[in-house]
Amino acid sequence: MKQPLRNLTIQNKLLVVVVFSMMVILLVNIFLFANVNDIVKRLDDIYVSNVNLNDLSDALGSVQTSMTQYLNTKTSDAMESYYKDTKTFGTLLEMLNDRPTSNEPKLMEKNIRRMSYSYLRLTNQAIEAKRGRNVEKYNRYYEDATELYHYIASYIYSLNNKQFKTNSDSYEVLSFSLRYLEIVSSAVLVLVALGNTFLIILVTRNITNPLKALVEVANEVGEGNFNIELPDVSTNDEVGVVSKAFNKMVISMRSYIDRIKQNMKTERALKEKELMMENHLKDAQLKYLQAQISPHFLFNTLNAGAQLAMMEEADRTYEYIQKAAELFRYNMKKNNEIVTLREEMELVDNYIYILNVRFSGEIHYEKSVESGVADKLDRIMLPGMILQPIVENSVNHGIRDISWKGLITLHVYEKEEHICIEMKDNGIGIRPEILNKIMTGTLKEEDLSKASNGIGLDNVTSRLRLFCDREDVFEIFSEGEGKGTTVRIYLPGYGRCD
Amino acid sequence: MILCFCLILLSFLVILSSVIYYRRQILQSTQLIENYENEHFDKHYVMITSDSKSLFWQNVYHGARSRAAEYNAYLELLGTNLDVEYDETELLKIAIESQVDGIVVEASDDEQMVALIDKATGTGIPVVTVLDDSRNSTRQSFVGISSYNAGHEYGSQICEILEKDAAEKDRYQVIVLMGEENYDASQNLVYSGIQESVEEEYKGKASVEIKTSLISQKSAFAAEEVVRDIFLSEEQSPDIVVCLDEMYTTCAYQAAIDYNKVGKINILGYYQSDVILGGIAGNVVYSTLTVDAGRMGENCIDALWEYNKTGYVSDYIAVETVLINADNIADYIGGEERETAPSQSDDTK
Repeated sequence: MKQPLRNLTIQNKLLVVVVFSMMVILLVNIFLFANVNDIVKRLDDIYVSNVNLNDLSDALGSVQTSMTQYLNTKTSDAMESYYKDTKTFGTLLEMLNDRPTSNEPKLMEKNIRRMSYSYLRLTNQAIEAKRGRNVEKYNRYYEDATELYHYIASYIYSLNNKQFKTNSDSYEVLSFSLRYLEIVSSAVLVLVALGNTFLIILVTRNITNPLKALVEVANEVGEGNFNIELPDVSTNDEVGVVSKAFNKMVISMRSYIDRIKQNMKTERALKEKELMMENHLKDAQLKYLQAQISPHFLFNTLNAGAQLAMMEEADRTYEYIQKAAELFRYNMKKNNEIVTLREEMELVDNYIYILNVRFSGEIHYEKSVESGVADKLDRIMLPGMILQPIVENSVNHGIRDISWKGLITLHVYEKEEHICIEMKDNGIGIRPEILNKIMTGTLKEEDLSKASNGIGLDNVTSRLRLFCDREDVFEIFSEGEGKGTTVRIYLPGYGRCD
Repeated sequence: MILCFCLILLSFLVILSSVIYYRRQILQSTQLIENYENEHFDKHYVMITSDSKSLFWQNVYHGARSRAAEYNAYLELLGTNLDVEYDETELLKIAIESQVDGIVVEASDDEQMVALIDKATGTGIPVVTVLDDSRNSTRQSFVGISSYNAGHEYGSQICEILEKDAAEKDRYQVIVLMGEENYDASQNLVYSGIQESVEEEYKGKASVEIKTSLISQKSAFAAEEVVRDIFLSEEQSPDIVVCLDEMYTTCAYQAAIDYNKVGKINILGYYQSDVILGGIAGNVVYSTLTVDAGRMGENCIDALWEYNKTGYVSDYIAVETVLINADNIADYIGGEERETAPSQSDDTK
């Protein structure tokens, strides 16, 4: 029974159990009702024989009475009732047994029947004799009939008694059977009810157990534990379908997670590789630049040139070579050091001077320091080589190819507890898309390194951000093409002035 | 799961056994209603006796009934199933009016009985008399012992007792207990036989007086009263009492013990009940004359059947008598048990 049940849906399972239970109870009830009916029918039948015999006895008495009445009065009424009674009696006699048998009551019936026919013959003869006014004969027939009447009455009485006794015994047995049936039926109903309850428990457990298992596993999965044993699905009902779907879902989630992990691993490895490559490249560029010229040699050469210019009294040449030598010295010395703002500003002065010598004083430079800040310039610290690359950018990309007079202004002021260094040019400005690339750091380096001395804006912003340990330390904006470019550096507090 | 199956199995067994028990109960009630066997037969014979309850007549009836069943006929012991007591003539009337196929009757030479037997044979019902005959009637056959021979047997026993007697009285008295209604018939022949036999065989000097004492079968308890009178009468106390009936023998046996007459009055009994055989074994009853009752019954049915078949039958069919006394009582005490066993079981039905 269990195997076919597994393939049924919950609805059909419940239907089967309920129908089965109802059928069993129905059958038991039908059985009980049939038996009760049977007993009641038997009880009804028991005394039928007595009732019949009483009818027979009454009919016999009526015949005797009406015959006597006719013999007494000779009225046609008496005659009529005699014939009527004879007919009734004859009909009842037809129902009696007429065969020799070992069954005592049946044999008595036979004797009663035969004697009754003799009796009716005698009564008829008595009536006939009365009609024929044969007094002697009708008296004799009457006496014989009366004697026989007594015998028959006695026979009927005896048979009635006998049957009543038998019927009473039967009644007793049936009555006992009825009581017994009551007990048996109660017991059977209780047993069937218990059996049904048990069956329903079995079937519902068959339904709920897989659900419980599923809930348990779902809870585990909900807590993030995918490495669990999946519930074994053996049924094909709704719960079985849900369990199978759940198992499938857990399995595909597992494989999806594995795949993501694998992808992340691969991506990380690729990034590492890329970073390393960039590092190596930088390293190579640096080494290349360093290899180009020995700074000390260059510095000594320039110093020798300055002394030569001084001896020849060429003052402007001496000054120029002197400033160029300072620039290189600074560059060589402070490239990776923390410097004061004043030093940085002096470097910008030197750089502008050299450029103006180179470009015949084309670049106008204006410098202003807010009065409150001027005396702090020696205490405001920042990474070296920050301002010079910005000025270099302004010259190279801003004012080199313009038709009007190029102007670069440097303004240092204090704003909301920040030291703000603002560098402004009136060059060609920057297109918004390029500006955006610079701000997000996605501008390719090769775009910038063509004409620079190697230190790009990206480098400047990176170092500033690291130095100040915050992001909003540098901003660059341009109002459009031909409108110049402004760069602002915010040093929190006094930078690292303390 | 196993527990579940065990419970279901147990419940099933309980229900099944209850239902089987219940069906048996119902069947029992049905059997009561249908009342024992219900076998059909071709012929219906009746037997009418003076005392249908006595062991002798019960044995006759059972022998006859078994034989009748062989001929596919049913023998009814008429009157036993009625609540009213009818005498033999009334039962005979009932049998005639019931138009049975044959009558076996313990008859007498009573006029009414003869008339009724004649009426029965006149309406085509064959009649066989048994044990006591109705010689003047038109009955088809008589099955019985030869009363005359029985008388001679009793006579011989009387002579034996008298010759053995040490008292050597001058005068011995013998009382023969007879049924009043049968006085004229067979019992009278027995009496004659006794007389003849004593006269012929007794060689002693003393005189032997043989008297009869008639017991009315119609009045209740008459036998016990008559026997009591005989045993208690001081001056006329008999030496030998001959009982021509099973019941008289039992009464005489009881009286001999009650009135301390064992050894003083010798009892010659009739038929073999447990009491009578016990009496012989205990030397209270001297001897008893018996017949094979079952055989007698079978002969009656054979006679009826033969008449039905051929229209002719022997007028007289003899059944041999057997004497039981202290010498052969051992054979009968065991044999009697076997013979009475079926009749007792039938009585209890």
